[in-house]
Amino acid sequence: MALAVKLRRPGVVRFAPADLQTREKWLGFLIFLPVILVFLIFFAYPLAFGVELSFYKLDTLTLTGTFVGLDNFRRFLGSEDLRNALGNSLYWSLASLALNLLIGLGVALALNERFPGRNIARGLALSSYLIPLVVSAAIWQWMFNAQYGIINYLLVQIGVTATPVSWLSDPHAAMPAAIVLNVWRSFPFVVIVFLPRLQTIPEDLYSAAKVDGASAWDRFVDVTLPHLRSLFVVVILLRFIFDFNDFTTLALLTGGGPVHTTETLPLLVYRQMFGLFDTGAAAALAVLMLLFLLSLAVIYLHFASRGERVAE
Amino acid sequence: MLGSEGDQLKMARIGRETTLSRRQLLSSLGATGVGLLASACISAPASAPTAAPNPPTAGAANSASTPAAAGAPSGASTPAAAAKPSITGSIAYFDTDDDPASSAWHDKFHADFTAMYPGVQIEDTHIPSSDYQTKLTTALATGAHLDMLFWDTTNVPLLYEQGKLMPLNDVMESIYASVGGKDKVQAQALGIYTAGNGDIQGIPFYCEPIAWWFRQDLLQAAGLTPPADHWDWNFLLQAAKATHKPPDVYGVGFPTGRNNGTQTPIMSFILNNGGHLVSPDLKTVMFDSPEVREAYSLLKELAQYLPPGTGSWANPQQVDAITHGTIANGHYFGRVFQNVSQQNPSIIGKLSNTLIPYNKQATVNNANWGAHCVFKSAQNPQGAKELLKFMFSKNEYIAYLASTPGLYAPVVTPYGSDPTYLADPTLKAFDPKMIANITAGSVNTANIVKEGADWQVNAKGATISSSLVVVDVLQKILVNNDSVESAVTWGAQQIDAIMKA
Repeated sequence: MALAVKLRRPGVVRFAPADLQTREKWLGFLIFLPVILVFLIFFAYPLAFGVELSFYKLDTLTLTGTFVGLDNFRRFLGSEDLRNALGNSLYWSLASLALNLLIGLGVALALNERFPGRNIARGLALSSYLIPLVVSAAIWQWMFNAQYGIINYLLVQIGVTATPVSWLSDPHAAMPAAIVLNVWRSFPFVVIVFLPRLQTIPEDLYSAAKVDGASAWDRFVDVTLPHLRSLFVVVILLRFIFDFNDFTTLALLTGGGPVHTTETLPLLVYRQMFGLFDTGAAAALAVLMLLFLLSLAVIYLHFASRGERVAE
Repeated sequence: MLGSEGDQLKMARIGRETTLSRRQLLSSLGATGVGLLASACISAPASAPTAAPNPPTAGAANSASTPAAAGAPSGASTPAAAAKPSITGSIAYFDTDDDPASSAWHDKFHADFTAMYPGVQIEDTHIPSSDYQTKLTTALATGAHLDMLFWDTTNVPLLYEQGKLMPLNDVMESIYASVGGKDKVQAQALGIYTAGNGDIQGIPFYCEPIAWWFRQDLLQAAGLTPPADHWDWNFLLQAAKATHKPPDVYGVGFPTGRNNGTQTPIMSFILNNGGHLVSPDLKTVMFDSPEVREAYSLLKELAQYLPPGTGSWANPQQVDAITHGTIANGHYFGRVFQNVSQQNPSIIGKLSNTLIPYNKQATVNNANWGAHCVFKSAQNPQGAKELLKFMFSKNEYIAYLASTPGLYAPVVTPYGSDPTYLADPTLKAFDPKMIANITAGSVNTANIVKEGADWQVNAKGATISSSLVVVDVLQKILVNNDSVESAVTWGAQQIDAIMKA
């Protein structure tokens, strides 16, 4: 209020209100122009170009081709390739998300407790997030190695299996193995998001709940979770998008095999682009992926905001 | 509200106080941002070729043509060097030679070339063969500056068909002259890179033949004596079964993962069994045939002697398994000589090789011929052409062969039997017959692009290869337990779709 009074001191404003409003509009536009230009050049244009490419039958190697309208979309909608890749993408994203939330929240809760060496434990918990993915993939490839891998060695030693499991070349084991690597690498993201919020929850709330006879589970459900609710929206949305769009992990670990059992949508896009030299089909798939993610995001945000309103 | 006194910022500037309103500050920032962005856009034109720092003068050119005066480049005494044109500027290309020995050869080769042509810079990017197609495709699609490239058989005809490459008949003629005649150049290599109208699409450089490597000590221990010459499939199955002693050693090894490393043995067995992907005129898909089914049946039978985990194998795991004795039998290129020599010399004398085993009769050898091509859009086509000619200088070429002894069968056949090359200590350690088998593997070749002497060059071979459809068929058989018949029929449909696309 003091500032408002100060700002209204006479003699400083030099322009008529209408003139000022016009100038302010232009000033605002000018200030945001660089951002708008960057957005247009680096986001809107590539997106529009990608959409345009999806209407062409276009050879990747030579970028020559013809306009085919919606043929690329028609080819994929209902195709076995798309069904398989979409199923794999959902399996990969949802399983990774569930495990990430479970492990990430669990670790965050543990690291929120007071115990000797907590800071070291916090540092160690984040270490897998800091290792470059290509290194992580190489490490886990060796760990999963059917002949020399430590995982098979331990399983055979303790008698879980008599013969080594071909983790990355067995159609039933490859995706779970890849999800293990993905969760190992990305759960620290969930820890990073949840831990600071956990530290801001007043101790008094837990003390009061204890006095009221609430069990540890009750305190978690009635005190901790409501404080984390808004973060769940962020974590679920971001992690799902990250994993749904992830190409590198599966490309490095399985290449989409065996027999396409780990071929997710990004890998299918890659196969169309660099395997079949069909840029148009790859672009069409990318557009379909974008639409799918957008629709999921809209639905999820709608329900999340409704849930928050109900909670309020 | 903006512009009021309380909203003004004071800035001390060179001893006096200047007042600047927030509006002025923000206006300045906005304008500066726009200016910077605009200038960044304007000042980023397509990169022009680097100007030659020291264009050679006539005198310099003359002196450089004398090997001693030019720092004695090893191949400077060739006819190409004698009739040296004036070239300057940069020459940009990609190759697949990312291993240390081959990279070192390129460094020396470039140094020798630029000693002859001081105004030239060479921008060579080594890319692992596993990433080559993706990176080169991306570079081409994004308009990267490339004068020439190295690529294997599968992709060059497609690029030429699409009008991306310039004919190199003049370069080939010059090479004939420098190596002592057209008859010194491998005819099959020329056939692959000669278009229907006689245009030379690319200058073939070498072949990487595939051999069948086996542990003769283990075969003898199992009571088997390998045929003195070429194996057939019956002996191959006997050998795999007899030497299969897991987990110490497995009877056979080949990748079954979804990659090019798996494609190699499949195509080898298909082609040398008389199987084909398409007809000679490329109009009919011939994949769904008894010969192809027999080849897949053989691989299925051999698969019971594979080590666990070959589904994640590619070429590196295959050569490691041979080198370190994990498998008793397996296909691979001549790189085995160098790897065994450096990593496990104890099996020298125990390891031998032969051509890829045949079924009913020996037919063709699956092998790719790598070639260099010059883009029509090259900024320095003359420089690229001179560089290609210089590659065929005897000393440079033999140094290349020796960078990975035994891996390459040369396009200029006399170079492969040159005493300087054969005196290489790595090769000397092995039975000469093994080296001869590599050379033999480069004779009567076929591959996914040219499936036989009577076959037209199939530009769609590149897509068939990169689609990995022949690998998918094997995976369907081995992983999904599909029948050989249904998997091969499925494969034929996929190839048909590619051919018609």
